[in-house]
Formats: sequence, structure tokens, C-alpha cells
Amino acid sequence: MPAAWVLAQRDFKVLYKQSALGPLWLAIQPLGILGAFTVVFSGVADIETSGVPYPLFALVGISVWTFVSACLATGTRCFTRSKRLVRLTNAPRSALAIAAVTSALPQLAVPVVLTLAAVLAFGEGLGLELLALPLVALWLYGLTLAVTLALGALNVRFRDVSSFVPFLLQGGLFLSPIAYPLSEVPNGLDTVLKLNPITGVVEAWRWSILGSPADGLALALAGAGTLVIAFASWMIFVRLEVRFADVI
Amino acid sequence: MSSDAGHAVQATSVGKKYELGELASLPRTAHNLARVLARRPPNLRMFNALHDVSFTVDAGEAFAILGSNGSGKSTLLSIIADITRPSSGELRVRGRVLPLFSIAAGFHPELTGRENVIMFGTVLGIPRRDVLLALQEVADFAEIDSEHMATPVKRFSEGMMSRLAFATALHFPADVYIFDEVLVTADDHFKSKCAAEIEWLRNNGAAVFFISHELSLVRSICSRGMWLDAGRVRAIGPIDELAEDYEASDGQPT
Repeated sequence: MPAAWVLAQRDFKVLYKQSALGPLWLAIQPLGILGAFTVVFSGVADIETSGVPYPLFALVGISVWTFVSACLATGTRCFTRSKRLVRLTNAPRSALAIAAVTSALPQLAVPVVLTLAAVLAFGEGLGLELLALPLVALWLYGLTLAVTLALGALNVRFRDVSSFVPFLLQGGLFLSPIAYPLSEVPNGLDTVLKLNPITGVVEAWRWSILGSPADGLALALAGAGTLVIAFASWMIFVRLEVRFADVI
Repeated sequence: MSSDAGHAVQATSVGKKYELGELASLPRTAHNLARVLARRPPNLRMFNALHDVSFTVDAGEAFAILGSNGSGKSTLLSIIADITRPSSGELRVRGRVLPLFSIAAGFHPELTGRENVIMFGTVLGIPRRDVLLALQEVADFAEIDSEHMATPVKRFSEGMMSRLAFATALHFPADVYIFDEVLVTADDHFKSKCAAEIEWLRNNGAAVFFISHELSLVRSICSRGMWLDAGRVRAIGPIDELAEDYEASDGQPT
């Protein structure tokens, strides 16, 4: 979709307009979170990450999470921010959601490069599992796009969604194994965490970069969850889209 | 009902209703909840923006829509452009519609003239390659020099914005063009240039919808038209007669 691509370029270009550090924020953000996590989870709580240095372990989760939160935070407003496009042109509306998620890809790519550099700097090797990373990234992209499409569409009718999303993101950070491993979670509670599809994606991501074994149940639940979310989101979007111009 | 070969646009009893008031608010949520608990349907205040509108426009015609503010002109055009759907009736359009509502609808203030033309063209569904090829021609037609094309459009004057938006729209192929009050800020020189260009589009088989409060401009561009009054069709016919009646009724002469 060429329209989605130019809109994504637009979104990315305007992201760092009138910003002194500009794209440097792509690196500052994840490293800042890493600093905080290292102090709390490695310094204060002393989390066990089965032999992997904590900063490496955490960077993987942070890559996934910075992308998800960037997408949802701006993607929820992808239609309402472009009121004029929605009301005054017949551009395909799904392009706005695709653009929001696509324009956040640098916020995934930069932390990934940082992670890979850190892996080598710590003297750890990279395995053949790394070849699967693009597939895992595609999975993450699809899942995030589906959620963005649905939340964005709902936000057109009810702006409550934009108040709900920061809260969702804050809770999600604690309820996904971003800063801690699943193995540290008590039995029973870990099953609850595995219902969150991000858990499966993070597990797959860690397996791909660090070679740590991924939890089978988490992967299966996340795969099924992604399909359900994708289907439900598309239905929500298609139903609401026809009234966008009337209610935006 | 079936598709009539000659008609570019065919409207049959088109109606459009809008809901009035705030669509979502805490008082409204409370009110709706109370109605649900009382097992009564929520009371919606509706507004009929269009009522029983029927007309046809053929390929090669420039069609005017006259009417005062709030008569339903823009609502009708958004239905033709498939931006919104009619609440009742049916509207058929043959081919691709290129709508231009207000100046610079899709323009982003922070992007340059060049970037905006590329974005706007692509968003309208034109292949990027074609947009790039037409870029120079668009700038020339809009009479905007290359330095301004590399400047964020937030520093353009209204007239420049409207020239650029209009030039972009004119340069891309469509079967139905919609121009809604887009030449308001343009000067007379640019207006006559656009009138000639619209004539060319018509001769090449496009249907053109043109809206302007400037009746002399409408008369020079359009051959037929429709007069909308509070969402209803008051008259349809040749533009000269229609414009005279409209003016005589004190509709809104320029």
C-alpha cells in the first residue's frame, strides 16, 4: 500500500521536528529504561536470569516493549490525529493505522541493533536462531497492528480509549516478562502471564537472540491469541470505519 | 435502478441523517444508562442533512451545486466521494473519484510543498512513480518556484496552498472530480487558468462537480446544476436559469 508508506514516512519525519536530539532519542529511550531496570531488578531485587547478564536479558524485552508502547501510544490516535484526511479525502483508512505502526519500526530496529552489539560486547555468541528473528518481528508487527487498528477505530467514537491506553501500557509492562524471566514467576501466576500474547513474543525474541529455551505453552497461547485478536480487531475496524467521517 | 451506461453519477432518493449533540460525554452516559434501566430506547436528536435527493450527472458534464451554508452541499459531495455513506437511498458512481474539499485537506504543515504533493497524490491513490513524474508540472501549474517547493507549507500563503492543492488534483486522472470551494483564495488569473483546465477535463470525458459561492465563476465553468435548500432539491437545470432563480431568491449572491 503506497499510501501507508508515504503516511509512515510523514509520521516518522514529523516525529523529531524541532527536537534538539532528534533520532538520538531512539537510543536514549531504551537505554534509559535499561538503566532503571538494572538498578531495580539486578541491584535491588537480584533477579536470576539463568546465566545471561541482566542488561542483555532486559534489552530484549525492552526492544519489544518500546515498540509496542510507541505504537499504541500514538496509534490509538492515528485516525483522530488525521481528522482532515478522514473527513476530506477518500484515502483508505487502514493506511493510517499501518502507517502508525510502520513509522515506529525504527523504535524496534535501533534497540535490536543495540542488543546485538551488547551480546557481542559481553562476549556471548549469536546462534543460528537469529535467522528466525525477522519472522518473530513480523509476528510482533502483525499483533501490534491488529491492536492499533481496533483501539484507533474505537477511539474515533469514544475518546475514552486514549485515557485507557497509558494505563494499559503501564499494567502491561508489569504483566509481561520484560524485566524478569517467566521462571521467576510463581506457579499459577505464570499461566496468567502466558495469556498475554506479548509474553510469547518476548519468549520467542529471547530464544532468537540469546538462545534461551522458549516456553512452549506461552508460544502456543500467544499464537492462538494473536489469531483471535487479529480477527476481532479487523471486525471492529470494518464495522466502525463506515461511520468514521460522521463521528470523528 | 440498474447502471445506466451514460451516467457518471446517479443518485436515487439519497438521504443523510446526523446525530446532534455530543456523541459521548459523562452526562450522556448517565442518561443512556438511566434509559436502559428504565427499558426505554435512548432518545436521539437527529438532523436531516439530506432528504430525498435524486439526480444524474453524465460523463463530460460540469455540474454545479448551489445552496446556502448548511444546505447539504458538502454532505452530498462526501457521499459521492465515498467518505461517508447515505442513511437512505442509493448513490452510484462510475470510476474513480478525486475529491478536493477545502484547500490543502491532506497537507501537513511541517512537510515541504514537494513532500506534500507526493503524500497527497499517493494518498489519493496515484502510483508514486506517476506522482514523481508529474511533480514539476504541478509546481509549474501552481506557479510555485523550486525554493518554495522545498519549504514547509506552513509558511505558504493561503493562495499558494490552494494553487498547489488544486494543481495536484488536476494533474491526476479520475472519472469524477469534486471541487468544493477550493478557489476562494486564488486570484483571478489562477481562476481562469483552472476554468480552462476543467474544460479540458470535461472534454476528455470526466464529470466535474463544482461548488463556489462566486456565481459568475460557477456559470463560466458549469453547464448544469442543482439547487439544494435545507437538504432538499429545489431545482435542477441548465446553469444560467438556475443561477438566475437562485440569485433572484436572494439565495446568496456573491
